[in-house]
Amino acid sequence: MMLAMFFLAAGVAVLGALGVLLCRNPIHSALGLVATMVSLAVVYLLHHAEFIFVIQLMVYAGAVMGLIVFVIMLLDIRREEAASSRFAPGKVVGVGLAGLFFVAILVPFTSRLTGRMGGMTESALERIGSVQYLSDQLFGPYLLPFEIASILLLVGLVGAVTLAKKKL
Amino acid sequence: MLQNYIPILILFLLAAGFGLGVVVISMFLGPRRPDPSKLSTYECGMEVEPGARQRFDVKYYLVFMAFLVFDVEVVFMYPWAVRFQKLGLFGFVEMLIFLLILLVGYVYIWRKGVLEWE
Amino acid sequence: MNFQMADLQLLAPHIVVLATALLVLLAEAFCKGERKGYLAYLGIAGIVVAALLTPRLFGPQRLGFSGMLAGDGFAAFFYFILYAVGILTLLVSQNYLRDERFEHGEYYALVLLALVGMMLMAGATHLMVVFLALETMSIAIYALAGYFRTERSVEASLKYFILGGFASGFLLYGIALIYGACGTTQIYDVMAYFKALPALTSSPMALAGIGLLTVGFGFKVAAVPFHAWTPDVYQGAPTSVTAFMATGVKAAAFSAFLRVFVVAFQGTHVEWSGVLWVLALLTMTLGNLTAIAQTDVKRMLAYSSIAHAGYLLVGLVVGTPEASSAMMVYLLAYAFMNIGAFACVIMVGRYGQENTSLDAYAGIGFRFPALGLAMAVFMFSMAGIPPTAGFIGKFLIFKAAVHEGYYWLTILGVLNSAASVYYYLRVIITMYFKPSPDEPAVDGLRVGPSAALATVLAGVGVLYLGIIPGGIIKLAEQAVRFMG
Repeated sequence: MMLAMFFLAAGVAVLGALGVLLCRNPIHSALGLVATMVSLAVVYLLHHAEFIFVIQLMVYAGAVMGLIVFVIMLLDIRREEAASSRFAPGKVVGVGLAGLFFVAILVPFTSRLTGRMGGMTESALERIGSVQYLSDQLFGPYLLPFEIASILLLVGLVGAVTLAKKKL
Repeated sequence: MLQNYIPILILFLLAAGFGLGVVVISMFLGPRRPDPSKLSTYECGMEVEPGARQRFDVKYYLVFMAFLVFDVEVVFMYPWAVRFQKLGLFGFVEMLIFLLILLVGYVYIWRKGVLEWE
Repeated sequence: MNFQMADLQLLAPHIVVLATALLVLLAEAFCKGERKGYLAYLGIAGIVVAALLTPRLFGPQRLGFSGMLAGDGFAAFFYFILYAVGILTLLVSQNYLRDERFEHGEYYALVLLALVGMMLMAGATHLMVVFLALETMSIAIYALAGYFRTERSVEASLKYFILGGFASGFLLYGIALIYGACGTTQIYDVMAYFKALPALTSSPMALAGIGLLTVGFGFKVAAVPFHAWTPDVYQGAPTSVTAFMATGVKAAAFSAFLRVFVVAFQGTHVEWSGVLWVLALLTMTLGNLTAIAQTDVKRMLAYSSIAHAGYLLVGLVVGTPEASSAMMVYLLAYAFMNIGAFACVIMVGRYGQENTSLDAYAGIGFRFPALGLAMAVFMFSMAGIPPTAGFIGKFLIFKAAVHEGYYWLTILGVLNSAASVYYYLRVIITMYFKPSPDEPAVDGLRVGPSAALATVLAGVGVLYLGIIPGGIIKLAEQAVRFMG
């Protein structure tokens, strides 16, 4: 049952990603990306990462996708559609390299995992996935990355204003 | 644990089924006799100019970017609230520093007039 | 709770610089007026305070924040390089932005925030902190590159952003694979895990992780074949930002590159040094050969910065403490000579006209003797001619390479260095021996007290490191000893 759910979600994620690449209309591509984000959220849930599941839906499928749609609307789409799909040697090389990279990232999974084995039982996963555990970790050992995250958000805000505000 | 999510799955299937079902049913049952005035965007004789596909103002981007930043900020507050009692004063100070850094960003965009719709 | 008050000592310099950035941001929001150039001096004051807090970190290694941030000589040395970069950049920018009539506090705030990111990269001992710090730095730089809003400036920003986002993805995936292979992302734990489990050095997952990290860092230091963005971004960005990118980002990226590869992956040195050997050679050669063909000084300096990344990679290939300390001295020298050279490039231009083509430099050596002298010193240093800092840096790196038996790499490096003399000297020859045209493109220099001060400071730095480098070299050697 779990395995079937996983393959269903993973399949939709791949289909959505293909849709992002192949759709001619950018808004359709964005919808494909939503499908990918939502099915990734399901995959997270199957790994007992409940909090990440919710975040994935709220922040990625919700807020980030909204931003992407806005950015698409900022651009003049009609002109973009005209200039595309022409054969170029660069594209062939690009596709070849991408294929090579795809094979390269599959190689690691031909060997067995060398990390700490045996710790990830069902009950341990359930504990680790909980918000309480995440909270203890985030506000305990991981406090430095947590505070850096706020600096990162601030930089994003100031950077966006610097680049996009009409009158600085 | 995952059993808890079965109601959500059922709700999701219901919602998707309803959305799809309505479209499919009306496709089969509804009579279709299209004519130019019915196919126009609004059936009141006005042509829509210049169409929906025009460039939006970059102001939208700025407002959305600000929303996104503070959205992520709130996401961090959720696990903190769940463990508020146990984290105690230390966790409170941590969150205070986090909020303070972003508060400066908020004051900055407020004073800069990013939130105003010129 | 695994936090002690003593941990804050390790973070004190970062906190001071961050607080200064926040102050600058608030000053921009609350102070009236269009001209905010004085905020540069506020930034410099903040950096000076941070610099006063840093010498305490010089000493045996202390880890804080659950082993995520180091306070050791290695970090402290890099902090000082970054302070030098920060102060010189702010001085140069102040003059430049006033002349371009685009003085806003955001610029200075972003420079300081990028500096915080760079400092965190130098101190990080945890791959997650490395990643977050790298992103903080990068996003600030993306925005700075597009600061002028001209077509080229925005194009530079967009190119850097898209390719940089892609490279960050590689880095993050590499970190994930390392976590999969080792079960930890703390740098010293990764090192211990590789030691405890020798079979790991042939695990495809660990090797793929190391490979992806190489791509991520290689992009940030502009190593061939991840350099394609460099010329356009360096040329299109505001010149002061180019100087900041070429020196600050390079120093920060190499600090993390060093700590991750030389410490965490020391067990797999045989594996990764072979790959980096090729990268170092390609980077040096391609950077120098393409630089020779350039007729635009700013673009030439962009390619030369690729070549310098190649020399630095030689130090990383060697991977001994001697080579690491050589790289640190080199990066300090590079900060002085590169910002100095860009300061001269700024002075030659004027509002709305950058004057970066080599033809504009014809004859300005005699018409503006001080500028000619300064530019000549920086060009000599970049070419590695004694008695300048550039010579000391190259000498130390190649010495370390010879000690470890990398003869071929050294020979090819020295040949490259000889080839580079051609295009650096061409600038000097154009300045002094080409007659200036009847209507010279440069009829005056845009020089203010701050830019002049920056150029003098950089020049003094270059000559000090070139003539009496003993103290700094000793400091770098001590710093590496504490790296662990």
